[in-house]
Amino acid sequence: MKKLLNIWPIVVLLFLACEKDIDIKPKEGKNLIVVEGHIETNLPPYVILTRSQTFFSSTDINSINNNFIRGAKVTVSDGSRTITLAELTTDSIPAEIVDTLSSFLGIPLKSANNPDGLSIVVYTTIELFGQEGRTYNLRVETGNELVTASTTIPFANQLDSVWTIPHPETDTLVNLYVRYADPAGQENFIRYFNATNSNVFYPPLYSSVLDDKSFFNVDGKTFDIPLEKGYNRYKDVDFSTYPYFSAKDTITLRWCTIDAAHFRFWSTAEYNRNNGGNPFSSPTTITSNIKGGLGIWGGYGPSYYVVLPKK
Amino acid sequence: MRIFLIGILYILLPTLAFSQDLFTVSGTLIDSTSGEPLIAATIFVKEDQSKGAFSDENGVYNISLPPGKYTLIVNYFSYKTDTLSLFVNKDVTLNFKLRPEAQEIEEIVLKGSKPVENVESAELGKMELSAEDASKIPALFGEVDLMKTLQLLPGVQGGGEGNSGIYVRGGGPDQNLILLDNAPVYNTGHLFGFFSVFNNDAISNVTLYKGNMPANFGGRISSVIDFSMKDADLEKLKVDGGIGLISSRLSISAPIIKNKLGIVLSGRRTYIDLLTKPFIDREGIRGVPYYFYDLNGKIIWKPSSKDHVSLSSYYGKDNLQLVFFDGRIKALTYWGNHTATLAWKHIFGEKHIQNLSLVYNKFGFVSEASFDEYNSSLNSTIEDFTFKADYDYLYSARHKIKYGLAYTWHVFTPRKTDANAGVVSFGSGTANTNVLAHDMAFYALDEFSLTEKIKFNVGLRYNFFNQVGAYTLIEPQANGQIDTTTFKSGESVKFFDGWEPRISGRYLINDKSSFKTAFNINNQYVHMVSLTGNSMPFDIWLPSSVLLKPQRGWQYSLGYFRNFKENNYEFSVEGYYKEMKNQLEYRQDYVPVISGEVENDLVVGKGWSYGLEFFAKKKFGNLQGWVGYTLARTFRKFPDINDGKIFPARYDRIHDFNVVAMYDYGKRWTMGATFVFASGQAITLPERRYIITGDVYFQYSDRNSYRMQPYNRLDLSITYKGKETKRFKSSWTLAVYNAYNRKNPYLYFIDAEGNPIDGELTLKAKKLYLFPILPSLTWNFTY
Repeated sequence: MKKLLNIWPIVVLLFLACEKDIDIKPKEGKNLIVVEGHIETNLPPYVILTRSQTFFSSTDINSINNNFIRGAKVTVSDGSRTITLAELTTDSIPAEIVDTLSSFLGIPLKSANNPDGLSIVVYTTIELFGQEGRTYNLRVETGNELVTASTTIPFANQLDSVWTIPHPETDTLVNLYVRYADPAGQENFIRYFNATNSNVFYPPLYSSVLDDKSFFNVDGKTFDIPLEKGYNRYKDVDFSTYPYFSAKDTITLRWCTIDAAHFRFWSTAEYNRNNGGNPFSSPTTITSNIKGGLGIWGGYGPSYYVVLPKK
Repeated sequence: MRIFLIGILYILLPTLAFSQDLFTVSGTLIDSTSGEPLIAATIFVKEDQSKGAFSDENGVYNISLPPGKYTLIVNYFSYKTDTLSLFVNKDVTLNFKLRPEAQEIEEIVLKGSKPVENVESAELGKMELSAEDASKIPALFGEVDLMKTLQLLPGVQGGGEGNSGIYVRGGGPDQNLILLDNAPVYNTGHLFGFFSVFNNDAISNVTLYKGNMPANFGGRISSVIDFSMKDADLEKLKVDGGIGLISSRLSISAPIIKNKLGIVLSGRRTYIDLLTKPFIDREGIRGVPYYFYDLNGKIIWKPSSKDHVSLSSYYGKDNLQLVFFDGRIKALTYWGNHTATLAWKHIFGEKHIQNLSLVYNKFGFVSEASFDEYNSSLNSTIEDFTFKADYDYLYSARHKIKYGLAYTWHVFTPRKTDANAGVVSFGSGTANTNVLAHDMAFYALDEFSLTEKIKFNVGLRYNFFNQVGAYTLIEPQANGQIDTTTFKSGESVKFFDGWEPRISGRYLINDKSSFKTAFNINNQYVHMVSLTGNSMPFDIWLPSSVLLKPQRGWQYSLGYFRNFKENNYEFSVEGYYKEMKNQLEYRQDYVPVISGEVENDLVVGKGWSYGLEFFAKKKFGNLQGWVGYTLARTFRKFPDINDGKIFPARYDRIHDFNVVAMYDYGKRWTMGATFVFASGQAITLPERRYIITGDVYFQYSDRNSYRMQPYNRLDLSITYKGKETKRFKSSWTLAVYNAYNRKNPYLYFIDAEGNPIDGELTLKAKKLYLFPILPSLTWNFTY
């Protein structure tokens, strides 16, 4: 909604415009390491490493598999200990852990429970678990390349209440609402996910992050926010009702606090993704917290809520 | 206090002038049929040809003569020459009414470009167009538009369709001082720049200064675009109008007291919304939910032969109503300019002309949206109150002096937002709603002829800009802390000042050719930063402040001017080099928000541009027109953008080629054609891509390191004049815009379909284009 308010007069212009395919020949660009790393309270860190590919290169399953970086030295430090992460292929991990990892990453991974899922290369460990309030430093070395990053797990923020209200026009759909009390005097950032009738969490399609000052200054205020449904990116979506849940769904909300750099990454990445990179002017650069590379090393302070369907 | 004392001194100065033994012959030259002043007509003395004068923008001339008997000859194209003998032994006021030549020979003249003036004047980079010039050129939807015609001159570029910005010699769209009867117009576009706010029926002419503006203008670094509204006809009632494809116009000019008091009113409104109402009904909104209108009015009063008072005003509005998602989101947006100018011209003692003006102007943009029970409104305005005093002093035949002052009180409301969700209301997150500033300038210039061949226009302008409270200054520090300082009402927050030398000179090789050169320094204290780069009505205007230093520009130019065949053909080539300091852009990682201080999202850098402009014009005969070609570059360098590397500006369009042709066939038919070609805009494209949690993200190239396809377009028009009676004239114009249906790109985007894991991801590059071939039919009349 906030993006709509800012650019909708342009949407009018787009209604008047016509499209045509064109041929562009971008140059090679810089081949960079892409980090997708997560650490959250009471769970071990997971890091997926890939590389950026030339723009029109093929996207078949082989090139996806070849795009994972194998054999890298990945370490995570919490200030007192430094642990080296082990490289695993997900089809060699026990099914229960794979399911947790699926839910954590929002990707349907191959396991005994999900034979059609994906098989990916991930770096992880069982020697280190995330703790609230701590800062974690990541270090990735491969060949003669080095990238580093740092993130914190902020203290979790409990929601006042979570409920659903029916869609104004049909009672087969419901809208999810939360009552949020913003802690005063500090900057607060949130990323949320939800799971529908399962324990695999997905972020919403367009905007998964919130803060207490970009949209309106709500520092210290308590107010209600409508949240959107999260989706598996590999499945089709019905766009006419996409923010809503079915009235029969059991909704599990994962409401996570994140730090400022983590928020900036998703805020700029989602804005870029939603607007095709702001084609009107110069594209917004995605503010990554990975030094020397792309992507995100993000800490989460989650709290969970379940909303059962009304009878 | 000091300011007021200096101001009083300026007003008293004329009365302190000492006497000479020369007498002044002065007066006004007007068209006997329309009452319109004749600009740059010549009046000279048969007995002494070195004593001559041009009439100014108001048709006023001044000649200094020792006592004696003289024959005055008044001359202007397509008018019958007037001659008068007189004996001069005191100061004399003599007005002339020139009669146009017989109507059959309606020669189209690019007004103001006298056969000699383009070679003779000491001004460089100055061009003039009249409303009539624009009316002969084919227009989009038949909407004749001087702002679009200006873009057909070398050194001036538009941003293409959907962009109301004008880029003069590589400078940004906020660097043009666009005036309507001395009132600044901040946003000149209707419907995203397809049309300007200047209803051609209400306009008399426009003068463009490409950076080398004389010292009596200031406040913007790239150009001055000075529109004059048509004066009321003081002799008889006149009604003009037209019905077009998307809008209709009506102008009424009437004398209230013959030769003394008159009023002219013009209006224009689009009616697609009304026409489509019966056919379209979407979610409670009927028809296409957009319209705009322009209203212009001017009252002329001549209480005496030495006084001329005018009150002119403009009011325009764009209105857009949208509904999304089954009515869940409703948005009402409107924007527009409002100007009013009260001007009094008084001729003091025959050598001094005083012009006092009070000007009010405002531009506002309002957007009100509702989403379920959320209501929000966004408001952005800029309002100015100005007092100007300008003096023309004919010190001698060789020295024409101008001096004066201008004071403006600015009230900026850059971004005011309100929202509520049910009973909870949200603050705007901005500490200040209004930003206030004093803006004052003093200038003096002298146009003097050093020798027969060398003439200079030397001026100096001093200006200051002072932001005052009440204001809360928010300065985020590097360590994450935020410093807050509060200022009381009227207390000075930040003071800037600057001196601006303005020098130009002309060396006359012979009566057909000359060299000219100029050097200018200009300061600019108001800034517009455009999110989309397309000059949209919701772009924000900001004043210079603690966080934003004033823009400053230096421009050097050199030109060669040559006329051929008894001045029927004009030719010029001008080269320029320009440097711009304290240029503004949004931060590279900026995500649009609607709260917080806008200044904190901006970064500063510098720019420079250079180019060569060729111009050739044919001014007589059945076929007339011009050809312009500009070869130019413009660059920017910002420490916080593109890793500090130099990049071309978005509108760095290396080649810009325009041809305009107008052909009269017999008495009834006129044909017009324009062809434009411009190199493609510089853009940033993705070079690589990567995937995170199933979504594809783009990795971009260096800023503006690619080019869009070149822009080119041919427009054609044909006008048929209906039968003319003594009182009534009418004509039909059929025009075709984009005659060969070129799909000029408006923007490029990447369409991503499918998902990466299934191997079905396809990325396609596409362009959006706005206007295919568009015919239009317009009927115009004059009564």
